[in-house]
Amino acid sequence: MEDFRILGINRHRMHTDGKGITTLVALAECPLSCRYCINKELLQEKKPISLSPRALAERLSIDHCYFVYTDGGVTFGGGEPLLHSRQISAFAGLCPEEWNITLETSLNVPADLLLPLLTERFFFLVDIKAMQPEIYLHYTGQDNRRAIENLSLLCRQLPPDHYAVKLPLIPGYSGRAEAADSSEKLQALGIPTENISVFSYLTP
Amino acid sequence: MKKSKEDLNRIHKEKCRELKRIRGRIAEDLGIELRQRECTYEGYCSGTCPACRREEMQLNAALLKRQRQGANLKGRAATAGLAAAAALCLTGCTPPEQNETEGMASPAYALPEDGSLPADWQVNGEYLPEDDMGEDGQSAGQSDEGAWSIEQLEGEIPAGFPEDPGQSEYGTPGEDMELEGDVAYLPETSETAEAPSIPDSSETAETPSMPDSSETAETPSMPGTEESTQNE
Repeated sequence: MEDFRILGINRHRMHTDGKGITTLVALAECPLSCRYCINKELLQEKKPISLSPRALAERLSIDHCYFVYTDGGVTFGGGEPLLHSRQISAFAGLCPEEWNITLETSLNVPADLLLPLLTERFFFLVDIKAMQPEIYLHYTGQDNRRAIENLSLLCRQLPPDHYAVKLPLIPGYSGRAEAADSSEKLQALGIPTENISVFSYLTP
Repeated sequence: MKKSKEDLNRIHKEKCRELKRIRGRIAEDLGIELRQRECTYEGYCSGTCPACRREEMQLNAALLKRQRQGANLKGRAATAGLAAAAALCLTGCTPPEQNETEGMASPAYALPEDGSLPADWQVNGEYLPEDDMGEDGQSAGQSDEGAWSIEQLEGEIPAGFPEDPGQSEYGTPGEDMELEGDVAYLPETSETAEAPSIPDSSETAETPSMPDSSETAETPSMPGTEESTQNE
C-alpha cells in the first residue's frame, strides 16, 4: 500500500474541526483549484512527507489522552483526503476506536474512492462550495456533478449525525441568494437543514 | 488578518497553559501524580515542547492501563471537571455515546505500554527538535528550503516559511490555523456578498440532474458541526 503524502500535521486544534482536541493531517493533492484556497502554497510548493498508515497512527498517538478525554481525534484535510482513501481506511483499522476520524472533503473524486469510507467510523465535513455548476466551475475550475452525485450517495448511506455540509458565501462568486438556492438543492437531496452550515469566506 | 509572531507566541503560550491545565485534571481523574512544573521558557513558543510531551506520555501510559482494565474514558472531560474541554466536547455535536460494554478495544498496533513515543523517535534519545537529525543527516532545524524534515510536522514552523510574518500571504511561521482548506470561516453574519459575474454561457457547464427527492430523509437530531471563528 502506498504511504500517505502529508503536507503538515497540526496538533492541539480546538474549536475548529469538531469535537474535542483534534489533530489535523493535511494531505497532498487536490482535484480542485479554488480561487481562495488557503493551502494553495502548501499544495503547490511544499514537498510532501511520506508516512505509512501505521507510522502516522504511531505519530499521532502522543495525543491519545486528549483524544479520549475530550472526545476528539484526527481530521484529514488538505488537499483532498479522499485521494488517500485506501490509506485512510487502513489508518482507521489501526488507530484506537476512541479516536474520532473526520474527513474534510469536497467529494469531487471518483466514487470508488468514497465508497470504502462510507461507514459510521468517519464523520464527513463536506465543503460543497456551490450547487450551481457555473459558480462551482468558475471558483474551482472543475465540474461539480461528481461531487453532487457523491453527496447524494453519502446522505443515503450515512445517518445525519455522520456528516455536515458547509455552504460558503464566497465574495465575488456567491451571495445569499445563491446560497439559499444551494441550500434548497441540498435539501432536495435529502440533507436536513440542520446539517447545512452557511459561512462567509474571507479573502486572503 | 495576518497574525504577528508576537500574537502567535501569545496564542501558543495560552494554548500550552490550557493544555497543561487539561493534563493536570486528566492526571487527577486517573489518580496519578504528574509533577507539573511552571514553564519558564521565554523564547518563541510553538505550543508544545519535550516537557509537555513527557507529561503526555505519562498520561497515555496511565490511560492505557485503565482502559485495558476495562475503563471507558471516552469523552470523560465533562465529568473530570474539565470545563473548557467539556465545552469542546459539546460544541455543536451530539453527546458522546455512553458505552456500557467493558472498555474499548485495544489499538490494533498497540501503543507502547509506557506511553512512550514510537521506537523510531527514540533512536536519538529524547526528542528535541534541535538535536534530532533528518534522513539526510541534517539537523531538523536546518532542513533544505522547501523540504520538510519529519520532525517539523507537528505544528512547529515548517521549513521554507518566511521568517518575516509580513511576507507570507497565507500566514506566519508557526501559525497553526491555516491548514484546513479554504480561507477561514466566519459564522454567517456578514453583509450580502455581491452576486458573481458569471462567465460567458458558452462555457457554462450543464446543470446536473438532481436525484429523485422522494426519498427525503426524516429530520434527524442535531448533528455535529463546528463553526470556526478564525479571523484573518
